[in-house]
Amino acid sequence: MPTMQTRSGPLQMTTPLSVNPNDRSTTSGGGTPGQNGSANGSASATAAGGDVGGVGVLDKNQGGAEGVTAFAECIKAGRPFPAYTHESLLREDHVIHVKDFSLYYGQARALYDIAMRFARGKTTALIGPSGCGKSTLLRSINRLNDLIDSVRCTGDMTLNGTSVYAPSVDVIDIRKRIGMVFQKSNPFPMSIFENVVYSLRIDGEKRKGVLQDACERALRSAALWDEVKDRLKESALGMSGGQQQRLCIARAIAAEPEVLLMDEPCSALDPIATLKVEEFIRQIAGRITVVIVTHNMHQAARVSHSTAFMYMGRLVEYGPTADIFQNPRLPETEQYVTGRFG
Amino acid sequence: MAEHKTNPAPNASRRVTRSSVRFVDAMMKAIVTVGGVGVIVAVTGILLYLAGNVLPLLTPGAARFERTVKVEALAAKTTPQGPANVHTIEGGNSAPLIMAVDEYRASATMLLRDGRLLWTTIDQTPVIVNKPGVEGVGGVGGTGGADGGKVITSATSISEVGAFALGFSDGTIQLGELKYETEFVNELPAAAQSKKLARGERSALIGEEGTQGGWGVVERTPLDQYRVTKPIFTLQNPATPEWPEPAAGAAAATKPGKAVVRIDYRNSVLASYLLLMREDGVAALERVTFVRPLGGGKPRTKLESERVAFKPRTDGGSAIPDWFFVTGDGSNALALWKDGRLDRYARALKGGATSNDDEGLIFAETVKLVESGRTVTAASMLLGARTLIIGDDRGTIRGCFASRQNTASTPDGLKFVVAHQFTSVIPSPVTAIATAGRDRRFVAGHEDGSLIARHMTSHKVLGESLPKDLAGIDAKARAVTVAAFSPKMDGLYAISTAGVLRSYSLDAKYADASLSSLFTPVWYEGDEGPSSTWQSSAGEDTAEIKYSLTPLIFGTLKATVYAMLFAAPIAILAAIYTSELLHPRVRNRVKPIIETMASLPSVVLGFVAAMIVAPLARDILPGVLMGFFVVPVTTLAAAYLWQMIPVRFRSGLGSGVQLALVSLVTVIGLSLAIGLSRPLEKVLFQPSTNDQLVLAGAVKEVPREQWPEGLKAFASLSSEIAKPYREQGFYVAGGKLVKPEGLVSDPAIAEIIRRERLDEPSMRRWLDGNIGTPWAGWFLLMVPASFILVALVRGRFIDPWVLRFVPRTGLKAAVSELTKFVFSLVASLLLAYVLANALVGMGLDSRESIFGSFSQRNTLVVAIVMGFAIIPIIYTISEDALSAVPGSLRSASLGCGATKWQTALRVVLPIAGSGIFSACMIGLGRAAGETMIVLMATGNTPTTSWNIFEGMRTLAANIAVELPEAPSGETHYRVLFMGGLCLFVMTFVINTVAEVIRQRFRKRSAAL
Repeated sequence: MPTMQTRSGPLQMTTPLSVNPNDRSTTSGGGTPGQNGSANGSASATAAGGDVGGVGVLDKNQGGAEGVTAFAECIKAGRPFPAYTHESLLREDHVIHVKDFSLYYGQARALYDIAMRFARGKTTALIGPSGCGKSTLLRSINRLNDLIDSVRCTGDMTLNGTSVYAPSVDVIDIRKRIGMVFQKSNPFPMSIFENVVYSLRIDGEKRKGVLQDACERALRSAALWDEVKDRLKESALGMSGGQQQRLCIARAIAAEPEVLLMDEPCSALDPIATLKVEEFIRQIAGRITVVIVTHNMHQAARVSHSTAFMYMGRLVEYGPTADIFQNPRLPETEQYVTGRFG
Repeated sequence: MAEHKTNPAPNASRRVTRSSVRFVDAMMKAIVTVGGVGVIVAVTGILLYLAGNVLPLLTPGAARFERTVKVEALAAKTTPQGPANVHTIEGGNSAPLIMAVDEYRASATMLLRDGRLLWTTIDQTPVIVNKPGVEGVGGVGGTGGADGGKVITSATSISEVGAFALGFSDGTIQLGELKYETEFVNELPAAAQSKKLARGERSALIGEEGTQGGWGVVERTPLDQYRVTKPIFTLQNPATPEWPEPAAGAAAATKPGKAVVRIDYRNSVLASYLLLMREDGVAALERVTFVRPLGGGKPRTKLESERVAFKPRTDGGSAIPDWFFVTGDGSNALALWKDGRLDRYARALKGGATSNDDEGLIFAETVKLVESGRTVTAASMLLGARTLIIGDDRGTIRGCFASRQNTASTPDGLKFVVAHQFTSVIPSPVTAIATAGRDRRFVAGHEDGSLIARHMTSHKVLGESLPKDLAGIDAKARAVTVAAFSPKMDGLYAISTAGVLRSYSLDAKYADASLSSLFTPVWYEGDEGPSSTWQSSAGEDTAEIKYSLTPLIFGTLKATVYAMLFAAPIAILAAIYTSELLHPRVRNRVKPIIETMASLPSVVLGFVAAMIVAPLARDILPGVLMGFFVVPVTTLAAAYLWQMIPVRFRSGLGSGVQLALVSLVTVIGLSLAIGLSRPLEKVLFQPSTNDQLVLAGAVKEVPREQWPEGLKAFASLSSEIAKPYREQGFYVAGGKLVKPEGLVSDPAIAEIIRRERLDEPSMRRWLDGNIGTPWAGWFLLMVPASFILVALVRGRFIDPWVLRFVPRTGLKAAVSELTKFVFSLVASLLLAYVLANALVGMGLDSRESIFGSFSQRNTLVVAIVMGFAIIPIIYTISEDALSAVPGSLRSASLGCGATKWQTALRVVLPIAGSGIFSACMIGLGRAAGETMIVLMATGNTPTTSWNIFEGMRTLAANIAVELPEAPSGETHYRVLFMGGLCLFVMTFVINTVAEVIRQRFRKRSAAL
């Protein structure tokens, strides 16, 4: 696996790249050339490539002959890759707009100028092999990466049009609008009830009726109400793994967020519990925008409307789920979804 | 094995563990095992060693019966009528007047009632010798002898110095000494030549008839020397005391005569006193001096008479007291009757009298020492002659002394009280009481022949006789007439009516300490009531040694509690700050810096405390106190202001800048505290004009008639008693009630005020109770309490109401928060003002709470400096506990939109709580065992008050201070070990509780 820190040296200036003529909305404002001031020398590449922040398609005729795709070239050179975004997605009304977002862990670059939009009320799956940056991207949306030492980022995201990374933004307010479910269930060591209404509690809500309503609504959504309604006062740690994860989901949606981020929510669950979570995701579609990171391509196929394939910190291809799985435009995507690597 | 040799090939590739690896494995296992077991053994060993040193303290003493010696001359000639009494000479009683046993417990010498001396070896085959003792004595008892000579009518002895005094029927007295002399010789004395002595064997030594020096006991020592112990009996020349005129009316109640019927003798380094009573009820206190004539020869007894205004009893019963004692310092005469009535005569402190003439002893009070129906049957004075021991006809023994009582109406402000009571299992009348010469033990002999030796302070039973010891004695004549300790207090002797001398060896172990005296209040001699006092050494041998561990345990707790109050919040908040709020990069620098604080040697901290912090705290005392109020308020105010800064500016600031800002706020808070201290002192601790006048000495005494009603009951006044009357202008100066008089503008007074800076506000003078009212202290104490109260009310009622009008976020919210904060600050100050007034109105003095008189080495200094010693410990362990909380929970909480503080408070703290708790407990254990800081920075005064401006003495410091002076193996030494054991147990309990609680909480976090 090539390392993300690439050596300096003569850069390939001839990356075959063309801007999709259909792209009207993003090419205009998107790119901020030269923002990638990282040490790996990709700045020159971006400058040469022009608007890398835009939505692009790869010219299939280029590079294929030698068996080395343009994507492989980018990786080799440590450059960002202009993702192939399916045209149909660009017309959707979006909640989150990721604008040329890059992220570094110290010197190591984890995300390369990601540019994508998450459609309102839809479920988007992020797929890709381990370490491709999909969890990092997810955690960047509610700025949980801020907690990690030595993280810095460039670019921006917007949530309903307001910037997430602007200095004047109160990160707490952003997070209040975004719910999150983690890979490993992490209920607080308190009662089931207190777990669910945690978000409301920290907002100073004290009225019992409001709390109880919110608790019931959230638990019903997470299909947990019938199982725990008689033991709401008991510790959440006494629940089974699947129940704990659904409790975390209930906690995440109790305060009715606009977006729900799910970081491999089913990776530690048995098939039946997984089924229940997937059922939940399908149910809330339309109400809440869901971004789900998953390793399970079948799950992505089952629950999501659109799917983004990421690899080596770059967004490779982003399109409707059916297209990604059945009709991928890029050979890398095809190889991945057909299980030939990853 | 054979197969291996024949066919090695298949095994060649097999993996084998080399023998050296196996050896190292076995060796390391052995070493680790030895090390581990060694640690456990060492800790157990320490505990066992401590316990082993302490255990002897708690074991009761034992008296072992040795033998009986039948002395025919001591057998009562008639059946005694009632219990015997050494102080009265009655017919038919043949008990010796004085008895002394030698240091090696080989022989006893007694002065008999007919003036003869009787000497006997205490042996299986006793050698008994009669010698002439007091010359010119004829007959026994009554008013005159058969041959017309004088008779001994009273006698007393002081066992500790071997002195005695005799009173005669002709009105004279004679002083003398009965001692032993020991010499070591290489040759067996001629008087015992006929004997062959083995090592350790004894033999009586009989010289020529008629010479005193001729008789004694010789013992061959293990070094083949011969030790000769001889009794030395010396008598001063008879002296005639000067008698005062009999009191009017006394003659009617008593019979005329000049026989000295009661005599008591006290001989101390300072002065010797002789208390006498004549048959006709005239009493005299004689100051005794010995004048050696110029030409040599026998010293002459010189008596200087002092009047004792004795009033014979007229309410029935005998007019003359049955016992008549003088206390060791000659300040009290005690007349005791058999029915328990005691009349105390005291040296008068003539209050208000113009002349300082000593009027002698005047009547002070009458007390009843036993319940009616009971009879006092024996009495004696304890070592030091301040405590009177009386035994009654039901076997109960009481220890009584004059104690200082505020409400006493006696001329000297003392009241005679029964402070100790020992109830006997066998209700047999006490017939003899003897006291020891070196400590406060005494032995009581009963009518049934039983003997019980006890210690007055510790109430410990040191030895008891067994019924079988009395087997050979006539059942009707077993009553103990005389009891005695040997000089080294290792032997116990009793003579029964039948004339049988019983000998016991006494192993009293550690007489002066018992569990109850170590841990419960004891009524020490002269005190107002039972108290827990530590006073392990005293100026004179006769003083009561006070081993109460309670004040030391209290001191340890006090130091620990105050140190924890200071250290725990700082350490825990610092841990939360670095773990939860600070950027990890900054945290990685801050944590080691705080941890290096732990490596400061405590002796350095103690030195800093004593030499720098203590004087500094004294000089800026109000500032230091203000700091506890101002710094938190400043920080809160800064936090509210911080909210008002737009997010755009504050979110751009790095963690390091925030840390710098917080530090800046703290520094501002501290300087504000110092800056505000002067105005505060002026407001709270300004001396009034009256205060200034009194301090300058411009006062006038208030005659007793004009005293406030509440004070009239008091015989003597102290500032404490009179404090409530200060508002009315009454002060106490020099033990007198005074009112300020004069004007501050008077040049002379103004000069004093200016020189002594009496007009300046001073918190220290206020603390010492010299100026101001209790209000200031209550106000300061009430401010934090009111603030908490106001905050609670605000959170419950005001906040929800305000939220209806003000948004939850934004500048408006910040302004409303700041406004609420300012209002609640003002409200709590007002509330504190009201509460302080209420408390003053209730007559409570804040200077008896955690405030009180000021000493430079005080608890505040210890709390701060010891706090610095334990902050790193609590901080490090708390920080580790907080860091150990899974990051996933933190992410979950933050992902829900919680702030870092909400996350810390609601999620992280409950999980890390057990770890923080055990951190505090470990800090507590460290503080409890800390020695050098408390040793150097407190006055080491073993007091029991919560006053933060006073020192304390902790168990650890006490051991460090006193162990070098405590003789190894003695009571003091073992009591110090007891202190060590207490400390061990305290820290052990603290740590065990901490561990148990930690384990319980751990289960909860283990599930995460």
